[in-house]
Amino acid sequence: MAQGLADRVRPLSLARERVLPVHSALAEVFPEGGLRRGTVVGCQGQAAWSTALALAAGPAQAGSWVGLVGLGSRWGLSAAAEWGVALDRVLSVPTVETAQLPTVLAAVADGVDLVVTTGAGVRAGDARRIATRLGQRGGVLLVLGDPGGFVPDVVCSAVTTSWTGLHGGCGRLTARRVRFEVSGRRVDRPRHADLWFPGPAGTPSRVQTEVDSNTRRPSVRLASAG
Amino acid sequence: MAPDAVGAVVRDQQIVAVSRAARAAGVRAGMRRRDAQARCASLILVEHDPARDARRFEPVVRALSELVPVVEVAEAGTVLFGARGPSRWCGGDSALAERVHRLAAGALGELLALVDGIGVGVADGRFAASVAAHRSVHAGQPVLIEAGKDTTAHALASVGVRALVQIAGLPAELTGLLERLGVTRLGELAALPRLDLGERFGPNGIFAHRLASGEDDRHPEVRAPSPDLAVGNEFEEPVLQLGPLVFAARHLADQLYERVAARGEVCTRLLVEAETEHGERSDRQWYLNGGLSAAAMVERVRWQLEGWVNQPGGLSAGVVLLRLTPDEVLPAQGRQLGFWGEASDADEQAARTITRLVGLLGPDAVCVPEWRGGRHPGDRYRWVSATSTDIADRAARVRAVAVSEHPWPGGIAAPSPAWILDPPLAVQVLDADGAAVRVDGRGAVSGAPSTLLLTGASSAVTVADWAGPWPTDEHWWDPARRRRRARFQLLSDRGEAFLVSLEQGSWWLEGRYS
Repeated sequence: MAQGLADRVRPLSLARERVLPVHSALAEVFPEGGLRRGTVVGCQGQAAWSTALALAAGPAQAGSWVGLVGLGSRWGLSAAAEWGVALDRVLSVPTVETAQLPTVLAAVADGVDLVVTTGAGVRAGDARRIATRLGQRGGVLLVLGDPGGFVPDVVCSAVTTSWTGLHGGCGRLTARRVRFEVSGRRVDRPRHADLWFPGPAGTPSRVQTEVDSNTRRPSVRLASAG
Repeated sequence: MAPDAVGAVVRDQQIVAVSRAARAAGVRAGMRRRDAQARCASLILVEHDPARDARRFEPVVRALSELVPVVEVAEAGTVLFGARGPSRWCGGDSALAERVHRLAAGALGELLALVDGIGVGVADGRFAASVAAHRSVHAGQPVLIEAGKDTTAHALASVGVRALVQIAGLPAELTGLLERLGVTRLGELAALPRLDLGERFGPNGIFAHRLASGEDDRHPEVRAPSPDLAVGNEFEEPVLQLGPLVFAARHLADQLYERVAARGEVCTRLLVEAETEHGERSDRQWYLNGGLSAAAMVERVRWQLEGWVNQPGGLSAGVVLLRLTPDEVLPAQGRQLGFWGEASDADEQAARTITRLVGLLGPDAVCVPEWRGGRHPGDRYRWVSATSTDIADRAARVRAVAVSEHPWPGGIAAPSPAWILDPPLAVQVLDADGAAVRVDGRGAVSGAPSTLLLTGASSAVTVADWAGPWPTDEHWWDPARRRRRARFQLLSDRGEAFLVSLEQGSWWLEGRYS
């Protein structure tokens, strides 16, 4: 009854209901400041898995559940915890037979806000049906790597530019810089950011542009034209 | 586990139960895993698994139900029932207690050697009876506390206040504070003015005082639900398998939970009844302090029916009736939906999704993370079957207590690889001359890694930079499980980072910093 009442008195859809929140360092890169509900988001580039973790952290902290489908035990839980994913709101269906994949994806999409999977084994027709289901239910699907049958509305590509911390046998990996790009058919023009992914403090942040920003600016212009 | 095994049950790196032989070896409940292993190297550890406990305990419950029509199972290991009727039938409380002891011992069989003993207590109310039963384990004979408020209070006086947490489920902060204030026994607690306790500790303080004084030990707000809440399913085709029954139970539990929740209540005691075509019945009451979620109800139905359907000899006919009746309800606290129905709504929905997926794919198909601790990125958390854990208790399950309090020496600091290979993939790491890189006993590297050959992929990865080795020597006290590994981080010229390890001359890819 409370739900019915809530539906009736709800005046308009609030921004936070249309968009799943993401980490503040990433929010600026997304046209709507987060993941638009009902969309398929591709995660690509060398840092694809970290991108998925970073994108899952915001919704999981805000109370949404994250469902992993067909990822086996590859999803690094320690890394997820470090990125801030609330692990008490994660469920996983590690192995699914290809024939059951569409059914399982649809069932998970019905129950959680964020679904993470790889594109492998899903045919275009099934992918379209799942996308429609997402649209009705308001969930977001992250597709890792090759999207297979899925047509991502938004593509996040994170290309590593440098790692810091290793010195010929000494040190350890501490921080990574990536060039983060958001593009796709739901994005009017590709948007870029240089990010620490993660930074030395363990969290993503914007790379502070040096005082002399002349070297950086043209590259942004060049890319946004393309 | 053999009856004389030195074994213990471990949960969250903590020992929660020990066998008799393990106790003799100095292992105690509440110890950390490592401390227990240090006390007793041959200790066999098994993970906490409530479903397994319920299965193994089922024969005891079944044996008792010959004597008592409906018994209440609080958790595997503890049953409660009203003693008045059966006691009259057996000829007195002590005759009843001895009979119960005999039945339970017979049903446990050789498992009896693992436990300290069977305790049977008779007293007024759940709390006093449980205390009596605990005492009876050590006394070696049934403990009877005469009926009446004063005799009960007198019998409880010497019991430590911690029993309030262990048996009555009151918050540990309450007794911790009481102990620091110098109130360590229930008798001392009962001697305090009740109103002052109420002022200082709120409703829990008053409830604790009531328990200590031997009064009614039901939660003050517990009430009998309205009778129209029961849900049931009559099967036109008798059902013989467990699967369809649990599937039906899932719908019933959802329905029941929603009906009870719509009245702002949660069900704390649930009666589950099943009947076959030939009139064989299984009736059980299930009790949970904080209230049963829909998933918890299904779980309990599964435990009950699993034991019943698979009992020796089996059922003579299919099940035709399954009914869930709420027996006691509590006003729901803190489970109310937000006005816009977000957070707790999402949790309920996720729990329903898990139930649905389990119905679709089988009981072990859905996993949730559980904190475990360990040196390797893949060890710190692990996936456990979602049906074997209490979804409502998630936060406790994944909290990484030990991360800050007890660091794991030898662990690699953050960031951890986002992509874990479990099991690891065999690879080759070569130095500039094309020879496999080795590490000697002192941790010296034979040459700087320059090429990483991923098995299967023809392309070799050029190593631009590297770090290591970080040697670990785990389980060195146990030849069968001892593992010596040296780990390296490798960075390719294309900016990809890998976590690899060398174990007994073989290289393994453990993770990618994708």
